[in-house]
Amino acid sequence: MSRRSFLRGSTAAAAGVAAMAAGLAPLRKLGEAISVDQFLQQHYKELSPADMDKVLRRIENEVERQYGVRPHVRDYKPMNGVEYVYALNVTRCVGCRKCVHACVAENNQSRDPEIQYIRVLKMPNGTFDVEKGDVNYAPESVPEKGFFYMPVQCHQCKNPPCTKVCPVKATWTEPDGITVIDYNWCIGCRYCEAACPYFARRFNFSEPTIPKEKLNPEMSYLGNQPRHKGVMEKCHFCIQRTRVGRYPACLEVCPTGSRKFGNILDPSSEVAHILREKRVFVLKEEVGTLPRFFYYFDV
Amino acid sequence: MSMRPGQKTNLVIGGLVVLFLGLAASFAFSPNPAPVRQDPALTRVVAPAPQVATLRMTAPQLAAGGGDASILDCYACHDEKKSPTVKMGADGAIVFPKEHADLRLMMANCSTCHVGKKLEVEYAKNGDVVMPKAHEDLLKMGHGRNNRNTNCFNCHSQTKLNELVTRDGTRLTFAQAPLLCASCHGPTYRDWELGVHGRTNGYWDTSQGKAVRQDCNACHDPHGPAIPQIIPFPGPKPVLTHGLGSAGAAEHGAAEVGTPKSEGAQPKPETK
Amino acid sequence: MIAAARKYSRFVGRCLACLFEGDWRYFLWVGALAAICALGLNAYARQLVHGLAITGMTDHVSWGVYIANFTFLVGVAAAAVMLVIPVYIYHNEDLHDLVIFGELLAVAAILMCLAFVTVDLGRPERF
Repeated sequence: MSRRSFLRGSTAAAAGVAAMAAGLAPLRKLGEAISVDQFLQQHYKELSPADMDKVLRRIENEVERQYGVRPHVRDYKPMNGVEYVYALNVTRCVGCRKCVHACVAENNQSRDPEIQYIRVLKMPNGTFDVEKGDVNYAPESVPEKGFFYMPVQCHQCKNPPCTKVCPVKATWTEPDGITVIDYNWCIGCRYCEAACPYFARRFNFSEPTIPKEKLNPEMSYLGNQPRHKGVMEKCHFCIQRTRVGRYPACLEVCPTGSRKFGNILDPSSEVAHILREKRVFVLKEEVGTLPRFFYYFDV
Repeated sequence: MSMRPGQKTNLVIGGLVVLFLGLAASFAFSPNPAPVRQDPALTRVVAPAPQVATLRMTAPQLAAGGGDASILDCYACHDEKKSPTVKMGADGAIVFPKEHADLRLMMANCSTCHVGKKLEVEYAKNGDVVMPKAHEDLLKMGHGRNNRNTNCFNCHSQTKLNELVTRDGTRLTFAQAPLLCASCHGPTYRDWELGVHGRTNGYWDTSQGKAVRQDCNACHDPHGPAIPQIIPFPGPKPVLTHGLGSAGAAEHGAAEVGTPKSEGAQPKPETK
Repeated sequence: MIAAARKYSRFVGRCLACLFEGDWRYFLWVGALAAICALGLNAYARQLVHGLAITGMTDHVSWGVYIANFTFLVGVAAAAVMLVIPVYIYHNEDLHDLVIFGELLAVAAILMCLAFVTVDLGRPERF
């Protein structure tokens, strides 16, 4: 090798390394790297109770470090003999969007970028074609004449397309009918979002921001623990409430009582009465997802 | 004029290199993506904040925090046993204390004011009740289709103000008001009894906690039972701006992810 | 065993040495391509920091150019491999030379596919 070619070669190599370093420079802002524990964490279903406990404490520490609030994170298990069903009275709903914002507050959704699980569609009377729905309505007051309102959220299907397409089994249906996501296992491929016919899933395209004074400290692992960028999330019937017997947040704020929730396996529950006695409508019945979310009418 | 093959190759490669490097340079030195145009058609209503609080706050806290208190009655804050005195002006109209000027008072009970007096009702020629001046602000009759059920004594007892009377003459106390409603609104009452009409709060699993049912009057003003128009909460932000704002801001070091500082950059519909 | 390893490393070394053989035009061309690669690396580094939002994708359009390129290159790779078929069906000996190029193209396209799906993931470190 001649001296000249060596010099030339090493100059080129140095330039290459410099260009590489310059290219990777933004990574300096990556901030807190992922901890080893976080990286090595197993799938939800493979965690032993002791492991789970450790994971929950770790999440509590992470949240406290990030938001300055000590949360109370638990892993709520499904109850025996319970299958949740949601029923929504489209005759009564006035489209005030209180449910949307109660949900955001309860479930620690990102405020910027904005993530909302419930979309309220303003629909012209006489059709159920969701293509005609409008989510951006902003009148002085609701309800408006000639329209009805149809909130759409995760339908917790009995035959869910979203869980079937997940390449890493990070989303599945629990025995009580709630389709959940393991936020710490999801790889963020957005397959499930493409599969969902109800547009119920939301992706964290950037790191979520929640003002710390608005953080709900009552958290569940599969429910409202703060998510990070790059994972999917969606309505989970407020696992942290419903699995201890309480009603979901969207129901509790509804000013017209249009939202009904309960255990369908209990024949005396409100939802059982509705499914027996009311005219019930299933959104996009033809796609065969068998939702656990029903729309019904008075009369 | 013909070119030698080598020369032509040189030209092509040189041109491609210049083109590629030019594209790359224009990409690398382009400023951060400009904020995406917002559709001006999507005007947004700035509604009072969603009360995060309604889920975890008591009624007085809610009212003190400037929340939507329209659903609360007097006794959400006041002690029922020591009810506040009601002041009346010279013309007999109720004088509202300043702090309640914005409250829509629901006339829950006549005998709160009318103690031991007989009630005279004046009728107009078309059969409507003529509202006394004192009640003009308090009580808007609007019951029944086309507001035709305006006679007080269709529901109230003519002789005892704190009693209700159904059409078949059954006397009911105010606590039994749902039965009075049921005498006309049978199917709705049946739904309500089953928990299908009206909101149930608290626990769906009654073995773990109490389910709280609301009476008819909790949601409906008996004198004008239609649910009033509500100001809707703001809708979703326009789709195109999703996420770009914060990513661009973080690039300039203007906002750190996860601190409340970044909250300042976005419009704040949540403060009053 | 050791001899084989040494032989293989010598093979790899000679392959790498091939990369640096050429006149100034070759180096200009490779340099330009390398600059573009570095730019891509930079873009990906930025995406890792700020999340997929900087690609402009939203919940409404959740798959973008990444996935489009991925499916396109899968097709390219498959088609390149299919070049083998005429060679064996028609016993066309001359086409054997072309098959080599086909396979090389297929390998290159598959590498690009892998890169594109990985880049499209929100959480590549978990995959």
